[in-house]
Amino acid sequence: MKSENTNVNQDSISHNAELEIIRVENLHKNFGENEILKGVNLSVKQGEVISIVGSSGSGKSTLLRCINLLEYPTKGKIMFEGTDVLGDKSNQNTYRAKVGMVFQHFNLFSNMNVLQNCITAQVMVLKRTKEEASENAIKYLHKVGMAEYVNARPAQLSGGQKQRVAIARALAMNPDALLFDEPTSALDPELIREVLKTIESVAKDGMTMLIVTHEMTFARRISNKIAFMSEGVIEEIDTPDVVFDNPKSIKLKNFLRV
Amino acid sequence: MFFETVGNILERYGSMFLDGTLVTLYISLLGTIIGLLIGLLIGIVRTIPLSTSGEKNITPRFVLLKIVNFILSAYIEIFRGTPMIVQATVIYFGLAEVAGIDLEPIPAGVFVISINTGAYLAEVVRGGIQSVDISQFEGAKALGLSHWQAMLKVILPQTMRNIMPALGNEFIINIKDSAVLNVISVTELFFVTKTVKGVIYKTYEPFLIAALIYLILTFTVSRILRLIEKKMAGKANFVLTSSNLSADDLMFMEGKEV
Repeated sequence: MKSENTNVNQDSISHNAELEIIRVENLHKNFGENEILKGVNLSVKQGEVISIVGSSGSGKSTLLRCINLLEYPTKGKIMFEGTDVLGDKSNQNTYRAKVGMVFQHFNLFSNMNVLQNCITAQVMVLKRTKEEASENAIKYLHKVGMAEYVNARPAQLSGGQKQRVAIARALAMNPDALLFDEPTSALDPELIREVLKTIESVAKDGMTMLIVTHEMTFARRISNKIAFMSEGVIEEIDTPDVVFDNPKSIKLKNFLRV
Repeated sequence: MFFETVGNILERYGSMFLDGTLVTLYISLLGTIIGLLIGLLIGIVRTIPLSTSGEKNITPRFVLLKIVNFILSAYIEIFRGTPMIVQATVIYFGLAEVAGIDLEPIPAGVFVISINTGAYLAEVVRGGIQSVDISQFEGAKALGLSHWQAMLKVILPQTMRNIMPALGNEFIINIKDSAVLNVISVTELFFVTKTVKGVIYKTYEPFLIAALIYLILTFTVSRILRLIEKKMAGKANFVLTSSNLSADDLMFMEGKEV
């Protein structure tokens, strides 16, 4: 608890000038009797890429899902660009549209083709015209290398292709931040690379990102910071070099050994 | 001798059989459609989350939904749990005696079939909605779609595909079971057959004709439904589009077979 608080404080001192996109304060989440998140503090600045690592059950995914409000936190605060997200319930859909989410199992709409997947929310939530939405969708489908597949249905694509479409769908909303929940965990080994490359190119464009992942090399390469979660709290958060080469806590040392 | 009798019946009473067949088809088709609308409405209402934020507070919304759900389950239990022939009698004669509402037999018949079908399909729709993977809902919510937008664009189209077989079943059952409406003098196929029997003093021949007509109706309907199901499943393959298509090209293609 103590170490993570000091870390957050250090961040806010050293990056004072930068715009804070997401700020999580003392976040708790209980599922019945089980306390999954036990007071998480996290600050994500504009353009930062933070990878969250840790063993299964440490609360990584729950943290992301709480930030996106797919799970409603039991206690604590989530600030998005200075606004309290949990306070004003009427704006939660607008908030969700600004924070893109990429899921482990893609969650593409199976009743729609690739293009429809990428334009539906633009039209319904952002009130763009169908033409604007299509143009924008195609731009991002190009970026992920899936523009040729506009007519395909999700069931006709490979896992890697689905995930790239899902990334394009999230990007087409022009979000201020993107959350990745184990984006390659459901993929065959040979498909992981294409998705990681896509995520890396999105990071290079300056997108603010939070990534829950088990791909350590990848996390180290693309992140500004690595957050190590254990038993519902962020045990350590620092630059990749410090976290991987100079871990402080025993738990992180043990985690990195396996 | 047998064929002679059947030929005679058809020659003299053929148009009566035809009229009866049309009435049977009319009330069962209309009853199934209205029943589906009732079922969809109830199914949708019964899957509204009791709370928007995951909190289990007793809000006015919570109480209202509980009451509505109670009324809806009562409706479903009553109409699934009593024979349609009894419902028809109670409604038709009851409305006339108690409320002074003198319904014509055919509208009364449509009414009975509709609410009966609605009770069955409400459960089918609820199951259909619940069988759509939760990831579809989460994908939609993460993009900022509201509960209703997600329902309309993502969940219900998939629900419709899920419930088609059950819906077809219900229609076929209605074609056959509308025969019980003869007790409230709906001039459907069974009623007409009874009338013919009464005139010619022959029993099994007219009913054999009726049986054949019912079989032709149900068989045709089941084939048509199979075709619709196939169409809803979508095309088995897709066409790669050249990757430098503009949005305009796509808009143009969307309405057409490519």
